[in-house]
Amino acid sequence: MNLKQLLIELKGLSPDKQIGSLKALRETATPKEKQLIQLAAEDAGQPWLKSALLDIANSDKVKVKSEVQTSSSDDIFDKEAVKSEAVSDSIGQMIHELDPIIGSIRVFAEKEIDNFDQSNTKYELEKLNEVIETFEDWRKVEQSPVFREVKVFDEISKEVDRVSRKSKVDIQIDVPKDLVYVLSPALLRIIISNALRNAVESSNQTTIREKHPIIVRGSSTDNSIWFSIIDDGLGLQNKTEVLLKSRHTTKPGNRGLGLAIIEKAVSSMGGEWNLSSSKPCGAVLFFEIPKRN
Amino acid sequence: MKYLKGIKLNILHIEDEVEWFEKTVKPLLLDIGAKGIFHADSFDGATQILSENDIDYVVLDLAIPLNLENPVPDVSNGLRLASYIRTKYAGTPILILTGQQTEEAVEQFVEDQEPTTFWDGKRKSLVKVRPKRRVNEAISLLAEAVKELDAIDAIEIEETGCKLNCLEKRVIRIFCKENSAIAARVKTLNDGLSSSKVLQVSLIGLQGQELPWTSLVKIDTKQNIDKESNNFRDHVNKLPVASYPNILNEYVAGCADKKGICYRFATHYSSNYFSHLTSGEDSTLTILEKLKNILSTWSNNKAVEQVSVGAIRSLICPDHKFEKLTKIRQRLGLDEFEKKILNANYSIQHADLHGLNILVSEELHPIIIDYGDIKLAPSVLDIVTLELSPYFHPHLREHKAPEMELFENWFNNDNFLSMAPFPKVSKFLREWKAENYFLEREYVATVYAYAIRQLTYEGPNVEIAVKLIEKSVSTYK
Repeated sequence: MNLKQLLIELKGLSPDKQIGSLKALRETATPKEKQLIQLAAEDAGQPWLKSALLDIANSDKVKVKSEVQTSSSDDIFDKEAVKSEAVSDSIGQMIHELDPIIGSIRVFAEKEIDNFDQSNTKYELEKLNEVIETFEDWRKVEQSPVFREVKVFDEISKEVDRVSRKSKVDIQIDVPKDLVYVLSPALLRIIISNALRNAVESSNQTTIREKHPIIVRGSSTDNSIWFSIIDDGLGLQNKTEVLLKSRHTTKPGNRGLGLAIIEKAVSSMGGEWNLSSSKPCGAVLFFEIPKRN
Repeated sequence: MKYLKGIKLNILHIEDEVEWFEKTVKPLLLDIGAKGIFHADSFDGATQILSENDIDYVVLDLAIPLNLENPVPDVSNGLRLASYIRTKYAGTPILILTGQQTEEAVEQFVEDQEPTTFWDGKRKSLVKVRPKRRVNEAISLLAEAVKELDAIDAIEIEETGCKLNCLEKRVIRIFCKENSAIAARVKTLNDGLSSSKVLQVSLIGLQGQELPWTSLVKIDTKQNIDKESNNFRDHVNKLPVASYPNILNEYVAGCADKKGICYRFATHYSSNYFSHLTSGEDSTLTILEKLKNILSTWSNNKAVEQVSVGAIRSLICPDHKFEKLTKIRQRLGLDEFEKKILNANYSIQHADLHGLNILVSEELHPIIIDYGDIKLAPSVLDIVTLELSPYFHPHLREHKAPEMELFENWFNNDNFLSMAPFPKVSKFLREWKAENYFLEREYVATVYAYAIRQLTYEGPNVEIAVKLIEKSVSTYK
């Protein structure tokens, strides 16, 4: 298969012929070819083509599923991939169904409820939006990461800007401005935003002492890039394992689900993370992502 | 939410959940004063509406079907449509209203968009994304756009010698807005033969005063303006300073497939080459001497190419137009003639250097404009255009009706100069071309190509063009 030639021809076809051609490719491509398709997707240029090629590349993992069922092979990686894809698809479908309904409720509530801005309905709708945002993050961390060169400081700044209006303490960034690293920008944003959300929640709690700013620190070494999100809030009330397990028992949006999402995002990029107490108060979330070959 | 009523904006919403569009979105769009609300539920439906209507703003769900035969909604169809709109209607703003905004490909698409000057005169991206759950925010964004469009529609434009359509006026209005002007006087600078509009624009400020600088705006398809902009950056700004105006900005927002590029003049101009040519040869000669000096930056970098007559002709008149000239091709055996091989000095040429594209300052300094055709071509092309455009350009065509004998003797230098209507200018141009060309054949082939192009325009001086073609073929032999 000459993939390059095929892609050139594909761009010249009418939309319905493109779909036919992509379907045929999905059915005939070997797993090895699908690996090449994944690489080609990253340089596809047009986003729709990239999306369609990634679908084909990822369809290999579904194929593996049937192989696993018929053989006794204990291929844990592929089982995980299949599971992740199923989780991601289900969450995606759920958001797709819920999104317009929530939008309509908001529109009608604004019209039908007096003093909507001060209403409990508005407050609960905002919370519902936050839950959906958490589900969006969850969905994303279940997908295969797409790596590219990231201007790290810019990505972190965007997340800090988003979160800072909800924070009662300052958020400082201590990351070299010219740091560029190959990462999944989407996963980096998710880790940083969840970590910041936790740090802000903790720092916003009322205490007698004056709290220090939240610090996002990061740098690269020869083999990895690392970050610490340091807060001066209440600190850890439970062990990390307990906090992680709480994803099943506490309300979404709380630290439990946030940490589970961080764990999945960091491990998707082959990294490690750790949550510990900060001296004298607060917590530190540390994570490190290895350099890609 | 309360919005201004009675404002004009055509919105196309592509959404496959028809009930959601009808019950939730449409009433909100009516509320904000959208003039026309169009709805499509598939890729094909959307492209049809776009081709039949002037759409100011597109609201796009991504998970849409392709058409009736392919009814399964897919994000790639929405992205494909977004790319299609960016290519075909590059200025049309898109608001992606979807449940799939966190898809990697969507984020990448939005990130890849370059900001442009919007209706409020500020730089922003033409693509925005909002989740459907925040449809109220999306509508607020549209309401803002409606107000901005309404505000610039109030900018008055006085047209002289031209009739601008609504998209062309929008280019001028965004230019006004960005420069805090409340009105503009627009005068055509080209009554030429191309699709483009080349306009002298004077902006009028808040106190009713004309802003103290002159600008030129060229409006054409986005593709042509992008080419012009690249030509400026690659070639024009290598010419001596003050021989060209500087680019101020480019405008595309809400202009569908149209785009405008705006230049500002460092030196005030008062006339053009044609007006000097018809009023006196001495001033024209001064201008030409300066022009020759300016263009030497390009012509000094020439290289010999071995090419066919047809290759030269295709640079000046494309094959698909030439192919339609069946009668003359057969009568004069032009297909055979075009196979002949010659040497030619190739250098960068303006390739449309007629008299209206050379503005002239009070100090008789030429200022070259209109860069859409700049290319590597035979180094006598601009000189041939200067020689022949007075007989073909609509601006001067009717001015002098030269005897046919002049064209009969076009390639006989002595005879030609004895009967030329502008003898000093003609002598100058003939000497200039002899400095530039490889040998006479390059000049003959270029005159031939120029004359062929004249046959492809409506109502040119056919007789002159045919005579020049005949003489080119016979002289070349």
